[in-house]
Amino acid sequence: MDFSVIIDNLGYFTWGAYPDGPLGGAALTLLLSLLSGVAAGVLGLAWGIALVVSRGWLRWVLVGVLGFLRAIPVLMLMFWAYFLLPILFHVDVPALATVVCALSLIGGAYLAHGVAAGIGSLPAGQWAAAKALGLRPGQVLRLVILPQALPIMLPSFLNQWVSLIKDTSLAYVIGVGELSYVATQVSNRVMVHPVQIFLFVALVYFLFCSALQWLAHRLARRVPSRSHR
Amino acid sequence: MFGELLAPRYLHWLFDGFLLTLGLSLLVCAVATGLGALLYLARTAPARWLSTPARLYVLVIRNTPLLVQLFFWYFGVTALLPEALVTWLNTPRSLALGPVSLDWPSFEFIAGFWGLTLYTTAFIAEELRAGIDSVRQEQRAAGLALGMRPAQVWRHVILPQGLRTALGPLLGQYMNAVKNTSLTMAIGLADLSYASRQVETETFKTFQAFGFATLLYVLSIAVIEAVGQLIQHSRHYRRGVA
Amino acid sequence: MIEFENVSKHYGTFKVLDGCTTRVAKGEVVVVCGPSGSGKSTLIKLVNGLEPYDGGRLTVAGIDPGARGTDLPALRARVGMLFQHFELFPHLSVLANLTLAQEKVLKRSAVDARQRALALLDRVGLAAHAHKYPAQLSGGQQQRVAIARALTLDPLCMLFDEPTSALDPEMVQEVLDVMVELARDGMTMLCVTHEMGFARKVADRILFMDQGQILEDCSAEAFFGDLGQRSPRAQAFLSRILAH
Repeated sequence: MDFSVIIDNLGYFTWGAYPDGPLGGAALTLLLSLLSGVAAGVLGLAWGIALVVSRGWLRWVLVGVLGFLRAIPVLMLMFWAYFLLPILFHVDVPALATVVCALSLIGGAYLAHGVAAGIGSLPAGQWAAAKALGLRPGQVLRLVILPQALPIMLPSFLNQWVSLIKDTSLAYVIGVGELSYVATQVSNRVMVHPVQIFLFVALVYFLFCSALQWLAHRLARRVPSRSHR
Repeated sequence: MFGELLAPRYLHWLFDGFLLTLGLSLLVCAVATGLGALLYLARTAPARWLSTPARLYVLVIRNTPLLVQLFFWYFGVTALLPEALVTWLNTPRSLALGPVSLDWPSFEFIAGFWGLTLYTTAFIAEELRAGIDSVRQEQRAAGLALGMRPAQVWRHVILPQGLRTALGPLLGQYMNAVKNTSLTMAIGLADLSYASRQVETETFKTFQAFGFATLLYVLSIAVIEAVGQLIQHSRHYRRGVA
Repeated sequence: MIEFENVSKHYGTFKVLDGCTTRVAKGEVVVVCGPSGSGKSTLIKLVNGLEPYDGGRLTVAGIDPGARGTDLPALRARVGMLFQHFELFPHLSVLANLTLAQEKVLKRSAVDARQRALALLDRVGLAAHAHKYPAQLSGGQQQRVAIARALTLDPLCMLFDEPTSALDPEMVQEVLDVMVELARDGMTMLCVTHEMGFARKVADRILFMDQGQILEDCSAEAFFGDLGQRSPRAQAFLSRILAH
C-alpha cells in the first residue's frame, strides 16, 4: 500500500495552511479539543453543582435544558450556533468559535450529570457533619464535598474529553479546516489513495484518544481511592 | 425570520429525511444489537484468537471518530473491494413484497448503514459486558452450589440479572445511534439534518427549517427515553433489581 | 461423611490451608471458628468443590471433589451451602428460588418441586412469603429462605459460611433457631460461625483454625468446659469474642 500521499502532505495534515493561512489539521483539532474541553469542564462543574443544590421550578428548567442538550445531535447544535451566534453578538463569529460553543454546551451537559452523580455518591453524613461544624453552604461545597467528589468524577471527565476529541471532526460540516476536513480535501485532490488517507487520519485520532485514556489510567492509580464504609 | 411556516414542498423534504433517519436508526439498532451480542461472546471467549481481535476491534472503533469511519467506508472501500462487487452494490434493483416494493438503497445508505452498525456494535458489546460483569461473583457460586451446571447458572442466574442492569445503558446507545445518523449527511445521505440544511439554504427560513428538524430529533430521543422509563418502572423489572 | 486428610492449598507462595486433617461423621454438627484469614471459609468451600485443593486428600460421602472425572454438579446437589450474604436470586420470586434447582438439577416436575418448596417454606416459617421477591424480605427472612432452598435438594450435609455475620442483631436468633432445629433433626452440619451460643447448644465438636492450620479439634464440652486447657491463640481469640 502506497503511503507516499501521506508523507507528501504531512505538513498540511499537521498544521493546515499555517503559516500561510489559518491553523488547520491536527493542530487545529487539538486546539478545538483543548478549548472545548476546558469550557465544557467549567460548564459541567457549574451545572452539576446547580443540579445538586437547586430546588423547585429552577431545577426543572435546568433538567430540561440539559436534557435538550443531550437529545440534540451535535451537528444540529453546530448549525444552530453557526446561525445564531452572529445574530446574538452582532459580529462575524469565526467558525472556530461556533464549534467550541456547540461542543462545550453538549460536553457540559453530559459532564453535569457526571458531576451530580459524583457529588451524590458521597454519604449524606458528610453534608450533615460539615454543616454541624458551622460551615456555610459555599464552604461545605468547596472544603468538604468537592475535594472528595472530584476524584470520583475524574473518569467521566476523561471519557467526555475523549468523546470531545472525536466530535471535533464534525467541524468539517461547517467548513472548519481541522484534521477530517484536511483529509477530505487531500483525498478529493489526489483522488487515488482514500484508504491510506483515512487510515492515517484514523490513526492520528486513535493516538490522541489513547493518550488521554493512558493519562486517565496513570491518574487513577496515583489518586488513592478512598474506602467508603 | 420566525413567522411564516414552510411551504408543503419543504415540509415534505423534511419529513422524507425524518423517515430515512428513523428507518436507518431502526435498522442499525436491530442489527447492531445482534452483532453486539456476538461480539460480547467473542470478547469474553477464553480462546485468545477470538478475544484479542474482538478487544482490538472495540478499541479501534471507540477511539476513532465516526465521521472518519464513515469516510473510510464511503470513499475508501470502493478502492478496496473487487470491482464486480462494487458494481453489484451500486446497481438499482427492487424486491416486491406484495403491495409494497422495496428499492435497493443507494450506496450512500449502504455505506452509512455499514459504518454506523460497526460503530454501534462496539458500544453495545461494551454495555452488555458492563451489565453482565456487574452481577456479583457470589451469585455464580450460589448457583453452582445448588448443583447447576455452568451453562445453567449463566442462563438462569447471570444473564437475567446482567441484562436488566444493561437495559438503561443499552437504550442510551440506541439514542446515540439516532443522533449519529445525522453524520451520514456528510457522505451525502438525505437524512433529516441534510434535509434541514437544504431547506434552509433554499428558503432562508433558518428557524423553521432547523427548528422543525431539531423538534423531530428531540421527540425521537424522548420516545426512547419514555419507553426506557416505562420498562424500568414496571413491576416486573423492578422486582428483579436487588 | 466428610474426611480431610492432610489437605493443603496455596495461592502462589501463600499457604491458605496447611495440613488440615479432620472428619465430620454423619449427623455430627461441627463448628469452625477462628480469626479472619485463618482459612475457615476456604476449608468449607473445598467440600463442594467451589475451590480446588492442592495437597492431601478430601472425600465427601466417598467422593473426592478434586479428582478428575468427578461429577461436581451431582456432588454439589447433595451438599447444601449457605452464604454470608444469603445469595438468593433477586430476579426470581421466593418460590421460584426454591423450585429452580429442583427442576433444572434434579429434574423434578413443576408440581412436585412446588409442593416440596412450599412444605420447606412452611418448615422455616415463611410460607406466606412464597410470592414475594428477595428484596422485599428482611435479611433474616432471606437467610431462612436460603436454608429452605438448600433443603429442597435433600442434601446429605450442609455447609454454613458465616450465615449470621451480615445480619442485624435482632434477626440473628431467628436464623439460629432454624439451624438448631436442623441439627436436632440429625442433619450433618459444618458451620463457620462466631456464634458461640449456638455452638454451645448444638455443636458436637469445635474446630479452631488459625493461619491455615487446625489448632484445636475437640468435643464441645471439652472446648467450653475447660478453657484453660486450650492453646494460647485459641484462648486469646475466645476471650475477644466471648467478651461481648
